[in-house]
Amino acid sequence: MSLLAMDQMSLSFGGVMAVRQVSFEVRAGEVFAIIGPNGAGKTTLFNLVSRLYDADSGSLHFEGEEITRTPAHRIAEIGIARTFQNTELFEHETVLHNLLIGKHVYRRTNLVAEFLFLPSVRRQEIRFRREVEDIIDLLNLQHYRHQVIGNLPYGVRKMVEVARALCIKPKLLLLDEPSSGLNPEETEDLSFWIEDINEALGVTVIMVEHDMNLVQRTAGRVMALADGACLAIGSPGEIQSHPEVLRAYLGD
Amino acid sequence: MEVLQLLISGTSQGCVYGLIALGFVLIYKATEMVNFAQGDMMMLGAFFAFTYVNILELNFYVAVLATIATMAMLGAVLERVVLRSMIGEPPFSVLMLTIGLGFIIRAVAGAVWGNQPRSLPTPYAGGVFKPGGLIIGYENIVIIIGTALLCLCLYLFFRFSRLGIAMQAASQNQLAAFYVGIPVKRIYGVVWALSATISAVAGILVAPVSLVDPQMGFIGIKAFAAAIVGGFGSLPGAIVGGLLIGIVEQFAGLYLPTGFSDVTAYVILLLMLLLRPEGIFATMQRKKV
Repeated sequence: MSLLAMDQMSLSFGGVMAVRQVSFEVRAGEVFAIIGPNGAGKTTLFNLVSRLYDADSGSLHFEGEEITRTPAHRIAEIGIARTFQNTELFEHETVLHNLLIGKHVYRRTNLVAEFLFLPSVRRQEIRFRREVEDIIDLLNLQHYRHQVIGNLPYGVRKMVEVARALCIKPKLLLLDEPSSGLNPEETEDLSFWIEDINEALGVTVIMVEHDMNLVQRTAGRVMALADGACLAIGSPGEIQSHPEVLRAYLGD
Repeated sequence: MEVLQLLISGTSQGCVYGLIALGFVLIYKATEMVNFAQGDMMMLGAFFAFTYVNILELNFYVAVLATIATMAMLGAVLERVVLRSMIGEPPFSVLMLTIGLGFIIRAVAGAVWGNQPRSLPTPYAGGVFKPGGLIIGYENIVIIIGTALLCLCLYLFFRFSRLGIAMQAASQNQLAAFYVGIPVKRIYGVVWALSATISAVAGILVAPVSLVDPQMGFIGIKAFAAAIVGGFGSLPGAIVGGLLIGIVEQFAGLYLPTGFSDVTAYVILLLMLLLRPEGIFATMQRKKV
């Protein structure tokens, strides 16, 4: 069964059709990439999946449950995490605090217990910290643990955002242009991390990506978008030689 | 000795400014709205306390809790009904709206409770503490201790509680807050409730000193100056700004010609804007492009 299924979704802003009747399914365990020229509607599609935008028509299912109208803040709870193209972090906080807040949906304590710092609260904090440390180890962020986000280089911030998304323990991770702004070396590392996240943690990944190299190395299947419509879905090789896709990128 | 006396009465007056300023800053930080009805919410809190004590004849401490509960509810309802639809509107519209809200609250309070000043009887009224030549009214001591306790509670709340941390997250970055699972809009309601609660406490604390009448909310303007002096956006700054204005005001009252103490708050505000526009505790930063 598919983990995420979008069926005939459309969205327009005023007179502009940003997404036209797009349908696709993502299977549990795969890395699914969305490519397309600038303005193709990739990020809009992402915002639909992560429930930031409401679609005009169509439906969206996650694990068989309809989430077409689920509010954005409920997404984390059901197991979807996302990152942003330009990173959305808590700029004045340390890396550690940014990751710990990723545990918000797992916090089960009440105000009184928190004020008294009861053993249940303490146990919870220790568990969260341990899980966060695992993610820090996985993404090699040990060095930055206590640094404030505002002082970090761009590439590190992008990884911190991925790390925070992983702290939610998602089943599905949405990466919006994870390689934009990274240097070739960092992009190389990124491809290994995406593999690790996918294989070691068993997280299904959907990513919007421009870098075809990265897509080829990591993605199992690719969807090409142009002018808000789905052109083709297939393996990276198939998509790269698909005549419609070539036309969209290169013109007639 | 005189200096110490002024310092203490200034501190107690400053605490009241500080608490109202805290209400301004809380709402501003979370929602980027400035609530100019903040002072009037304090007045409303004082009137509710007056009603519970004088008319319903509740025990004073029960009345305090009832007032806090009433104001928290009122704050949340106000946010949901009036201000929720203003999210994303230009700041000027929100400003006009809250100024209008202040007028409405004053008019309603005048109609319900009348315009003559009332006094709120408290169990500690009239008591005087005289340590070595100083004369300190119990009301002033209660204001200072009450403010300190409230600040401690707020500190613990923001530092350790799930809700407090979620509030900070929602105010720092809405998008990020959404995707770690924080219901940002519901948090806004909680922020208004908390801000109204703080004003209610300020109202109850100041009532025995200044009497309760529909115009008492105008000290909100001085509190607004205090919030800016503290670096609008900093919670400790709001209290420090309030204390500064409260204390300087007392000294100006004694050492400067009559009338000066009333403009002290604004003189301090102007000086601050000239010399250190980001306030004592700078939180504003230029946005990077």
